[in-house]
Amino acid sequence: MNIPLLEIKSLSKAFGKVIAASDVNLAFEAGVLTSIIGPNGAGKSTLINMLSGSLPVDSGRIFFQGADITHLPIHLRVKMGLCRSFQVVNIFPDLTVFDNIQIPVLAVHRRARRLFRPVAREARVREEVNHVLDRVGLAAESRTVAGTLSHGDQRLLEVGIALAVRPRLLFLDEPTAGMNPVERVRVLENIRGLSEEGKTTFVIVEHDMDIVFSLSDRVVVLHHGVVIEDGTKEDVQKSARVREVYLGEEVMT
Amino acid sequence: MLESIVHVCLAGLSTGMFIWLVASGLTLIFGVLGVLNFAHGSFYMLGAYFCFTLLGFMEENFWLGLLLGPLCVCAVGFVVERYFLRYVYHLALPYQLLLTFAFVLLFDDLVKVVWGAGSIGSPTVPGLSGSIPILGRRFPVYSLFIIGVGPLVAIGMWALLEKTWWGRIIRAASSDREMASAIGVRVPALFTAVFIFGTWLGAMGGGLAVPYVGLMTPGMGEAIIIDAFVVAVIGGLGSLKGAFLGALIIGLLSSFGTRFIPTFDMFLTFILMAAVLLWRPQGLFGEAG
Amino acid sequence: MKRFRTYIFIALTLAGLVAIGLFAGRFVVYLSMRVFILSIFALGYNLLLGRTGLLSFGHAAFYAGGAYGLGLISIHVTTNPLAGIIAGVALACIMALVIGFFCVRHTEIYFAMLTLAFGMMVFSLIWNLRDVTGGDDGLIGIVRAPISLGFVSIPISETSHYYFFVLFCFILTVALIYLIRRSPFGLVLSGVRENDLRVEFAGLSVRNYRLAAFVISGAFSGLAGSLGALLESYTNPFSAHWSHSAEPILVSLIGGMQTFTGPIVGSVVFIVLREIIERFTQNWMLWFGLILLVIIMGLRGGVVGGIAQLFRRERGHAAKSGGSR
Repeated sequence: MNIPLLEIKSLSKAFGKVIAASDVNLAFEAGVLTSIIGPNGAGKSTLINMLSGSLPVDSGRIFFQGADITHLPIHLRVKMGLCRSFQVVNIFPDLTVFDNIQIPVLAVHRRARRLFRPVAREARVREEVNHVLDRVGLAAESRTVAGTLSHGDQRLLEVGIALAVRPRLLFLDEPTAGMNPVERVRVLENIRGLSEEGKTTFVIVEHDMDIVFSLSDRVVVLHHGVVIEDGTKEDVQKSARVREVYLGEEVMT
Repeated sequence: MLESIVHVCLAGLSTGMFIWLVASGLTLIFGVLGVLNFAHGSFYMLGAYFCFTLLGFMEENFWLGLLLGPLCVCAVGFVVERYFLRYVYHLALPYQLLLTFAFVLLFDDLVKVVWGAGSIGSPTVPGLSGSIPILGRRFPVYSLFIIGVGPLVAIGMWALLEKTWWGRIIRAASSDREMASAIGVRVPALFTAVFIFGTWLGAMGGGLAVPYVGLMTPGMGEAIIIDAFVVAVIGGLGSLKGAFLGALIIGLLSSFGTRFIPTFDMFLTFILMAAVLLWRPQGLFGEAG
Repeated sequence: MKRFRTYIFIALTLAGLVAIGLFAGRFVVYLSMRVFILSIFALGYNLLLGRTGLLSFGHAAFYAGGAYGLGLISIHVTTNPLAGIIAGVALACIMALVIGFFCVRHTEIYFAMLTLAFGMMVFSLIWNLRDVTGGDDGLIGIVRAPISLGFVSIPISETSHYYFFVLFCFILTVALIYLIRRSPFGLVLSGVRENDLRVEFAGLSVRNYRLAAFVISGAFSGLAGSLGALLESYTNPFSAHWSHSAEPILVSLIGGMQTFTGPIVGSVVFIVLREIIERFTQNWMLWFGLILLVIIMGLRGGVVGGIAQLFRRERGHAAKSGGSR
């Protein structure tokens, strides 16, 4: 039996009286594209923050590829292959698009500590940056200053930076928020393609049900910090609890 | 031995209250506007010079000088905030600090131009001069006056911020600028008003300082600003209660240090500042996060 | 074409600097050395401020470390300047490592206040440890002995001879800083300035990069301090005071914080302008205050940034009129 890529045991977090996560137990297998859904305030962002390392847990443990990462700092988790993208665009605004991607690629190639060699000479790094830019469709904007990009392009860059670290498990926090339909399709195609390649496992937090159901192999539903449903699309679609939580329908027994 | 300790305490209290008078304005400005005003020391210095120059016109009336001097400095403070500082709030920290530092340079030299570069001795204040015996040793009356004024200012500010409508608006704007603006508070005007008030406090401190220190020099602003920073940090940047208690601590520490470990009291002050910043950055009395 | 022009420009500048050493009067030579030393201080410092976005008020402590390190070695061990400089820079690095370790855990105003506190601690130590540091008198009698490299001995006691040594150190600094800025490390520092969280999520430890920038800038501060102590033949406790820390900040701002040559241009402006102003009036601070005001309110790119903008606008005009055929 394979060790799951990411395993969460009894994770809990509270902000004062607000319970953001309550005894959450989840396991993510490699290659299974999972969506996490839930109404606002369900604790999705908190969960991602805890898993990626920007928020400390109150109790519980997190295991990545078998290793306990519960208290590991962010950059070490990323080095191990666990990364995330952000819901609100989180780029380097005054750097060019190329440099935005170059920073994570340098890190991956372990060239980010070099002091005396011009970065322009790093040919392999340059190749890979261009490759990533092609992937997300921003090759044309390579020399543009990131802060001046259109919002949609900035979201593409956001995903690009996350992909550039070659993660094994990547959390995408509402990757298509604010995108127009054309961009949305492109991003989703990309995610599907990359997911099928198998190098990166995606876990997507989303609001848009169409995306969730068209893309995911597995859906996890959160509500007030509790996992109320975890299964295939069909399981979730049929689940009475989910319907109750989302639509407020009372199910007659 | 006892009267030694009592006198050191009293000296510490008066030093502390004196620093509090200066730090109060600095803390208020930082708490509401988020700006660390290097030029606060300059306002303190201008307050001193204005108060005592006006004495010449006010028939040597200390109290009248104390009333009008700081008002002149407030005019300066108004210009600084309204036409300069306001435009750099959105910029990175270095620019804000450097802008206030530019004013330090400006005011330090302007004082030299107008009043000369030397120090000017201060006249004593009638009614508050001389010293009285406490436990057998004499202690300056003016220092006792300062020990009294300090808490008065503290209570006054507390009352203003907690009990008045004005104070409520100030507190609202300092914790959430956008929200305050959304409910109709004219935040830029409020900031100017708070800055002027803080300037007034600093200038008052300067006016009250002169009989305490005994003379005025163009360097007096720089001498006091670091102490005020230290106190503000230790108490918790932005917390008035913290600044008051921090000033007491620093005053007493400095007094005991000078008396019993003379060479290293500056060092101790800064170690305390660093220690607070490292282990409790919100200060001894500020709120976490 | 542009590169060729840059090389010509550099060659001409170098020729000019050498000419100063050979032909100019004593005072100009002395002033130039002060410009070089301040430039070294500011170039290193701007790596931390302009590049990494960290405002430190304590770097004067590392300058003093360089100065007193050299001074103590010179007086107690050997007058060989190389030994003194190595000791000074090493001391500055160690101080920067220890102080930086504590300071880089915090950012923005807390970082600024922490560096201020540590810097002033160093100042008060220097002031109080009279027996070691000479207290407010400083260390006097630092000799500019010849630099002995085993087989050859280079005399530097003459002002004009020492000039060439300082010039050499200046060129070395410029070259090193240039390389660092263009390196992957330099790019990551820009990232730390713009968005430190994202750098963390790229798999890099932001704290380590900040500490590295802190120590490197501290090393250059120490070099400047050592050279300064040799120039004046004495050390000054106020070289550790926070008001001295303000100098590289001012100078970088005046020249342009985000540019490479900004700190150099700013140093020239600061020192030369101050000399000129002091000919006419005591109140140079007033004029510098005004200059600062103007720059912060309107010309935040500093002198170099402003010139660059002018060129861009001119090129825009030329393109328009050329393309209107």
